[in-house]
Amino acid sequence: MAVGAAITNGSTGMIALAAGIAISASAFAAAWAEKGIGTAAIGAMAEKEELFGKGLILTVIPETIVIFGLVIAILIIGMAG
Amino acid sequence: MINDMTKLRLVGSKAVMPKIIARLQELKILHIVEGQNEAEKGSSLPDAELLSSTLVKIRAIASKFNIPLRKEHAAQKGSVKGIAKEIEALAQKLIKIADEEKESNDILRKQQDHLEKAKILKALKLDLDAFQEYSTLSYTVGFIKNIEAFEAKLKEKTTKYSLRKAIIEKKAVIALFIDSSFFDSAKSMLTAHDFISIDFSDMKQSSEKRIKETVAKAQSNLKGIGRKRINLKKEYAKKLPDYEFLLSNELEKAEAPLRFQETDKAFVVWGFVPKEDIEHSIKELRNAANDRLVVEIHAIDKKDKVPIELENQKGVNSFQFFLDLYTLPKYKEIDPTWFMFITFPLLFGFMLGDYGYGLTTLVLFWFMKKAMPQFKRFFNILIFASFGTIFFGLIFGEFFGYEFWHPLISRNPHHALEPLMIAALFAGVIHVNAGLIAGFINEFRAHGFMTAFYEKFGWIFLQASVALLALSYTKVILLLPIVGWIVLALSLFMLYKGEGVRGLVEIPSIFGNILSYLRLMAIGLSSVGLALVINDQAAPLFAAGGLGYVWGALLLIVGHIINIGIGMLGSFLHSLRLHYVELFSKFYKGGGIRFKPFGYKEG
Repeated sequence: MAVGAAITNGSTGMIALAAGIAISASAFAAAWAEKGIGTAAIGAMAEKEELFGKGLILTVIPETIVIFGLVIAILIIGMAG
Repeated sequence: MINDMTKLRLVGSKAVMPKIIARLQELKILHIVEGQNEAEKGSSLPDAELLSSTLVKIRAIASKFNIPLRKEHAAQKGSVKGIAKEIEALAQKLIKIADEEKESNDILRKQQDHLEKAKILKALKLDLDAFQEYSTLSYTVGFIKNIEAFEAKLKEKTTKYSLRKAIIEKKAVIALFIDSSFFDSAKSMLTAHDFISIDFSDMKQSSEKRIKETVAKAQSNLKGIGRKRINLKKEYAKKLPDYEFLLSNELEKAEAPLRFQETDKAFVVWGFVPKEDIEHSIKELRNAANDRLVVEIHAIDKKDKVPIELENQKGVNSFQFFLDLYTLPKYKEIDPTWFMFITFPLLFGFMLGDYGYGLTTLVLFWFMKKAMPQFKRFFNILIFASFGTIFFGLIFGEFFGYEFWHPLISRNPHHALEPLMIAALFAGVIHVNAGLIAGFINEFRAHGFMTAFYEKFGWIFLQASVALLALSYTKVILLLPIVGWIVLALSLFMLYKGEGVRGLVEIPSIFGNILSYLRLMAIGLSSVGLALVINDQAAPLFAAGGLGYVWGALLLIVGHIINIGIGMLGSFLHSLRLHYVELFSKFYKGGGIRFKPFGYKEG
């Protein structure tokens, strides 16, 4: 998208970098949060298989973080025009 | 739809109990409830023990013979005692066969051993006569690792020995004859050189011909045993599943009284019957009991754990899969199957949203449904989802990432994305509020109008107040901001009345929930982004011509297959998540028990 422009224009580069930080930091945060929940959910499912639904829900709850990160990243890129 | 249930109490004479049980098993309508304490717990019918022990044998034999036992089966007739006898005889026969097999195998092993030892003797040029009791001479035979090292060591000690060496199958064998006084020290030297001794004491002089005869006899015995087994398997391949089916039905009947209560002369059963079957089933049961049975209909209590039987139209009922995965609704709750039938494919389509992808997955899952009928419900859901994808593909104007016509809403990064974002949020507002209205109905049924109104409409008013404030401050509508503030105060009051402090604490969650629908945009954009990259990479290959056409086509095919795979997975899980988390939290609690009538078998 704005990659070509980023090389020539300093401020566009900073915008692209900001978008990158927004998505990568939020993705890392979501992954970190899901790691713990997912492990516990699998453990619970091993004991009681009916917990799949609840386990899935609890596991995907932090996913909202990365979605927000992606939305923010898209908005930031929008600033580059 | 959740089927209406009727709560029943059957009280009858014990004399007709077996008949009633048999009829109940055929009718498959009564979900028995245990745990009422009106009388003693019932005891099983006299045949139960014989039945279960015979069943154990049948299942063991079937697993040994690799005969599959199916759940679905035509009704069977036969005498339990006769079958038990036949199975017992079969079990004895099999034990005898196994004994014979072991015997023949033992003989074979022994002869094998003999032949190997004879080979060693031949290699060492020794005779069996050499191994007798000597007065001053001791001996040992066996495998050793390093002969030279050992012999060098031995020579340091004594020369009063004779050592024979041979190589058999790359392993060194020695026979050591040594003066008895040095035997102990020689033994410890041998141990140090990894010596493994061979015992010839059990070997008898026997001609090769006789050995061959014994081996041939044992082998033919084993062949006979194999044939016997195959014949038995053939004989019982159909019989065993039939017997298993018959006996497990009989056992179910024999053990049914364990779930009843009984006195000396009478029995009592509590249970639920679907309302539509009630008249017919009462008549049937009374007929079976010659009127020695009383059927009482009781009102359903709030505390009763009413079993849940979901019944929806063909096609829609595939979506019951999601409730099986999550949790079944309670009796008085709304069954969300219809809701999911409508919104799941739409949310899925919003994310994948590509005319070409939709057509591809539609054809793919159509064939997969035919190929794997056992996953019919799952593929039905995906087929509906494919229709959603096609629908949104038309709105977004996408065909394998290409923008072929002017889209209603664009997902192409070269266009402005605000309309897409607003559409996603709009979908969220509708979805969440539909959930709140469903929640209102649930709460109304459970706790009355006012509680339901405060609890659910408080959230709706809260959203309305924020919208009003935003619109009036930005002067989009001509309204004094004070109206928005009044609605906000009203909604806070309602939330406090409805959900207490917890409601106030959770205020941000409703906005988090709606913003969560931005994933409809985000996941869609990532899918479009990948599709565009694939197309952009393929374009120069096609432009080059020649072999470029092949590489370009290959890139397009592989790339889009991967993108469809990723897109399906993401869209499916996120659509499911939006339902389970954002939608269900507004109205659905679940925790219902599945309706399992007596006589019903899961298969």
